[in-house]
Amino acid sequence: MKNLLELKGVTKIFGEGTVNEKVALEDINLTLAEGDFVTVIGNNGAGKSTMLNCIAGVHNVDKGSIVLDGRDVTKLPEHKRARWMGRVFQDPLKGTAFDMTIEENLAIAYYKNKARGLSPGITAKDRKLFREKLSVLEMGLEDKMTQKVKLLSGGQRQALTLFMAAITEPKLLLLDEHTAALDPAAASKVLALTDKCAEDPKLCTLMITHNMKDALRHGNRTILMKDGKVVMDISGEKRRQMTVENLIEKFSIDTDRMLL
Amino acid sequence: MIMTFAAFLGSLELGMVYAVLALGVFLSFRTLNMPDLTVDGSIVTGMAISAVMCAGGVNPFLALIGAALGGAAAGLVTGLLHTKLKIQAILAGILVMLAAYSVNLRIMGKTPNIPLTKSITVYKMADELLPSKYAGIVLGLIILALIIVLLYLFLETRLGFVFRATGDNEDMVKACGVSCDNMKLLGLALSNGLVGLAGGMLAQNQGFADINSGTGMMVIGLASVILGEVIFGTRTLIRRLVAAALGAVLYRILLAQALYVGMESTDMKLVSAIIVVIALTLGLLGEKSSKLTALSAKFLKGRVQR
Repeated sequence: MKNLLELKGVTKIFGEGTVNEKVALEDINLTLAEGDFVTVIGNNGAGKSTMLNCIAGVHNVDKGSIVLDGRDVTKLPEHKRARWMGRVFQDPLKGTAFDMTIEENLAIAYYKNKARGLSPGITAKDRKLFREKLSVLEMGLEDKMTQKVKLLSGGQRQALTLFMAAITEPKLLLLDEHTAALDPAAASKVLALTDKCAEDPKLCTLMITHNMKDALRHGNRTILMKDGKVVMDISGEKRRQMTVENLIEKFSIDTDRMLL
Repeated sequence: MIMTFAAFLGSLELGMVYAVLALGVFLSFRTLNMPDLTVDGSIVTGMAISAVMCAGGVNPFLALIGAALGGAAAGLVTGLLHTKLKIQAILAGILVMLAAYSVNLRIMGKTPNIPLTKSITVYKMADELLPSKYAGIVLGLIILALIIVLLYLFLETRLGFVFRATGDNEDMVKACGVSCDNMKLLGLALSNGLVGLAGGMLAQNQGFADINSGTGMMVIGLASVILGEVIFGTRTLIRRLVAAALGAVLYRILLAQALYVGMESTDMKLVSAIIVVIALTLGLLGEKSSKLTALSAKFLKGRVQR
């Protein structure tokens, strides 16, 4: 399998040289193969979101490099990297333009890698395609295409955002606790959709979660972060034998130490 | 006392001009969600360029294009200060407004007032074609309709879609591969271009350009937008554009009426501010009342089911 994403010695320090200096990421080395679905767990402040944001280009890294599909993207601004990445945020409000309709939002995502000229924002053909694709979600969104997104529930919005992130078949899907703000029923629906998106076509996926059961049940590899470092990286047989209890044990040692 | 019919026609004519201003303010305030104070400066830039060109014997329609370009340039400077130098939007606008005063004076050849009594203007040209009572209104309406159609068509393109999304959610726009900075530059240039055009029309309509006439123009534009939203609604995009324009016309009528109930023309700035406060409060009430309607509908539905 080809390497799709490589983080080499990535270091990120916030407020360097001040009293509030915090090393958020320390010399991270991580390689994702094509088709990998990696779940990321760790305490608050472990650096999970920072890592995702560095990959997406929200933060510039202080040291190290990020290579995506053989291309060094370390210096590229966020909107230029977006061409190869789909992202879903924790906050359901962050993924969509709330005052625009569902189909308008979809069209914006759909034309991500095409010229944003003066051709029509959405065509009848697009509408038909969106309708077909949306019906697969089984959320009734295909009948609300001209409704403004602000009228949707959190779960519907996250499903829509995920759908928008995956519609251009990006190389990498970045999910930052995208089910954390949802009720359990909506969360499991969005997770099922996540699996579907990551499977067909096979997208390389990085998913942060606080739910350890989800972390083990979804994807093919799990990493645990602590104090800006990757302290555990399991896949295959080792991961199959890992239980939530074992993880908690590993976690609680960490939390105890954090409390002291 | 109710205003005379002639005064009503006069405020309609002026309303068409201010509608162009309102559409400009709509772009920055509503679409980009950015309070842009450049307006008070860029409208005078438009007036100055339009007056200088007309006085110099240039075709007055060309003068209007010049006015729009001048306004757009001012907006672009505000945009660059905001996006490249990271100055807060509101402060960037104030800085350009301040600087524009000096630049506008230079454009006007260091005289604070340019009369156009002897020059050809688009309004004088219209007077020759149509009965002069309605000529200005018809001309204004044609320009306004053209702008609304073009603006609507633009906002419905792929570029227009991401432009509208920028004011809603910058993170989403970036995640969709578009630079928000470019959208803001485009928006501010477009918005102030319309404001400049309104200034150019205003100078030709009233027959002079004055260096001090920009004060409070942003507030007037905003008042028109909000008034339009409260009265004509915001459901669809075309409706929002038309509402902003109608709001401006209504605003002129309200101001003219204020004169007829005994206010002095020097009180107009006060009246402007009061209209804005009332329009904002009505907007607030509108939100509450729509929530109330939704609640009562829910309640009724529950009772029917029971």
